[in-house]
Amino acid sequence: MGQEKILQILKEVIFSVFDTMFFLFPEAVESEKDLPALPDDYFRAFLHLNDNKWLLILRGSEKLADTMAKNFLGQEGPVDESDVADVFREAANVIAGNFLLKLGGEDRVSIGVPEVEKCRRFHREETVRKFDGDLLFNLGGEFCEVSIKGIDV
Amino acid sequence: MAYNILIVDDSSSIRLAVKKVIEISGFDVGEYFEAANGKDALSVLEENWADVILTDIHMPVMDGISFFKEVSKDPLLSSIPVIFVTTEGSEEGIKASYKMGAKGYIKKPFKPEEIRRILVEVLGEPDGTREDTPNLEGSDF
Repeated sequence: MGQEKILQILKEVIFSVFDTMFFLFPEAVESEKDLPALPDDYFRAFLHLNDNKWLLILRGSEKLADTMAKNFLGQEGPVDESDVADVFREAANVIAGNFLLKLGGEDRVSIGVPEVEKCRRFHREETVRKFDGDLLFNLGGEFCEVSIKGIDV
Repeated sequence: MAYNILIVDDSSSIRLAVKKVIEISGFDVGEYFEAANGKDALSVLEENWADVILTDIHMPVMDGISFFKEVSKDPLLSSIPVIFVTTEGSEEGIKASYKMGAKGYIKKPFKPEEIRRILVEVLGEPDGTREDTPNLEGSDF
C-alpha cells in the first residue's frame, strides 16, 4: 500500500473518530494560510504499534483538548485537567485501533498502551513537514496534528 | 432486579461514559464497580459479586484477554457474562472473542444504543425503563 493511501486512511479515521466521539469536524490543513495559531500549551498522546516499529502521535492545543473532554463527557462546566488528559489519551488509542482496522492488518499488529503528557512551548519548526507522515488539522481555529512514523511504504 | 456491573478500562473517561449510557438505558443497577486493569478487577471480584463485566482489552498490568481467562478458570466467576469494549474491531477479533466465551463485543467509538442492545441481550429488557428515558439514537461516544 502506498504512503498516500495510508495517510488517506489515517485522515478518514481521524475525521470519523472526531465526529463520533467528540462531535467535532476537523478541516485538513493543506496550506500555510489555513494553519491555526500555534498553541502555547498543548497535549501530546502517543502509542507504539507493531512491536514498537510504528509510532502514532496526536497533538492538540489545550483548548481543543478541553473541548474534546467536555463533548465526550457531556460536561458543560470545567473539566479537571486529569480528565482532559485521559480523554485525549483515549482519542489516540481509538484513532490507532481504527487505523489498524482500516489498514486490514490489526490481527497481526500489536497496539501499545497510550501515554499522554501536557507540554509547553509548541515549536513552529515541529509543524513543518519533516516527513510525510504528518497530518495537520484545523478544528474551529484550534491546532491539531497527527503523525505516524516508521511505516515502510 | 438490580444488577451489579463491573467496568474495566484504564481510561476513567471511558468508564464514566459507559456508566452514563447504562444509567440512561434504564437498567436497575445495584452497584457499579470500576477497575483500571484486569488485576484490579480480579481484586474487586474477590470482595464483590458482579452480574455482568464490561472490559477493555488493551490495558496495562493485566489486559482484558488475560483477565477474561482468569475469570473463565474460576468455577464461581465463570458464570458472569463478559462483554469486551475495545478499539479492536476486526471480524477475526470478534469471532475469536465469542469463541473464547465472550457474550458481547462493542467497538470504540461506540454508540450508546449498541451498549444497550448488548446489555439487553445479556441481561434482558431493563425493568427500570422509564417513559422519560432519553432516546439514545443519534448519540455517540
